[in-house]
Amino acid sequence: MEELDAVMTDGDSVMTDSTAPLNPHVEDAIRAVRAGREDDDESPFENFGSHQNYFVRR
Amino acid sequence: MSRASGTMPPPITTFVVKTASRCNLACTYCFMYEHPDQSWRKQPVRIARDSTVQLGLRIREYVDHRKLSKVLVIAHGGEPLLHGPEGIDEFFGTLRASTADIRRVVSFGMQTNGTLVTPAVVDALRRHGVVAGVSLDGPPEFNDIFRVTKRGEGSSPAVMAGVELLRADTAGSSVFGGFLSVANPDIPPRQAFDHFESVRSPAVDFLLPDFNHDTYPRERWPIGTFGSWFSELFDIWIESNSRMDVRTFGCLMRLLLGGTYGYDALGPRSRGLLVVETDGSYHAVDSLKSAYDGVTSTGLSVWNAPIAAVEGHPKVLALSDKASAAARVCLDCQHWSVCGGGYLPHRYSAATGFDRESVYCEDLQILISHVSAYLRAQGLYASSTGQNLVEASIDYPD
Repeated sequence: MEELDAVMTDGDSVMTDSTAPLNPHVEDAIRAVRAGREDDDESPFENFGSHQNYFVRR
Repeated sequence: MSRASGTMPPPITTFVVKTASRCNLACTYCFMYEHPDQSWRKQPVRIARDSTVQLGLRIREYVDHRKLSKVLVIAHGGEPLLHGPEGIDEFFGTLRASTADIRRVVSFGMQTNGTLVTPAVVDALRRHGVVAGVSLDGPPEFNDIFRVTKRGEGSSPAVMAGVELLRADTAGSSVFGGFLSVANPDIPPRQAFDHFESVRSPAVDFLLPDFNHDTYPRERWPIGTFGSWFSELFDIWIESNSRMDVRTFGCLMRLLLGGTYGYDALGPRSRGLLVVETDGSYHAVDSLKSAYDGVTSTGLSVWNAPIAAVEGHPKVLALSDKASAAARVCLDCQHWSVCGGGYLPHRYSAATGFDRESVYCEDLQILISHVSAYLRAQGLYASSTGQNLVEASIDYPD
């Protein structure tokens, strides 16, 4: 719980203090949120549709 | 179970259409046939052409009403390939014709068990631009315990033969999009991950089984088992640098980093979805059938109501604007902005209905904390507002 508290209360932005390369999936997540496109069906890094019983990469 | 949020309902952009109400497999856990809701028995075995035409008209009307730029229609079942390539042609061809003037807005998908795929099916899917997802519960020795034929035989050989056909589209463009797998803690996470890597899956998601507070097998899998299993799987996936997408993990990271939208099972908000049964009736999400008989019914259909009339139905809204039906304990929880109260079917008990936390609440907390700790270890600090205010100091190419 403390870990989540720290992450979720550290300002209004995603910030990083690391210069190490990030995992590509983490980069995708950051890119999606930064662009405000995490709900965009056309986003290449977003699952398509909103039903858990269908998930594909196009 | 509703709590009015006072805002416009999220638009419905996913239409899950039961093109067939029967299946050629007899999976032991299936929410369609093996749970309390038995309404499939009253449904036509397949959707009729005139119902598909009417559905297309309703979608066109709704796209115009909500000014949507993209909607997805998924052929679902039952088993949507039960009626062969002709059934695929009839459904998607009819729907395409009745939505011809919004062609660029409507995309097609299909979820199949993969056992009935033929070259003619692949041709039909390609013709209509349909991307198929396939259900597979991991290595054969585990998949074939649950996903069996009506004679009790394992389905793995037929599934993988079907996947190879979907992947090897004759035009060189695969119509295979990935796997859905019901999570099974009896499979070592390393083995589960390696299996989907070995079959070259571009994407996979691991779904929590459709248990609720009345049915969860606490002796077999003590509370927390799934949280630990998913956490170990996350570590294996993230350390592998695999290109394979795992939706649960990708979505969790986005939500932890300040995103607000998830899907029906995760996150406080998502685009809406509507299930359309073979008789044209509108229903809430099909997984709810694990709760009680008739639970998904809205009383409306393509024949008597526009889609706009059902977008605010409490059972439909509960899956997109999660706060509209969440338990108080969830709304007050620090994990709310990530889990969104958990998946609605997992919150049910006969005594309290859906007004409580998910039966997987502790598992979700374990996993969320685990992924959160990983992101923090990478030097990432997430938004407290959930307003997509990402300003990572990383230079990304466009």
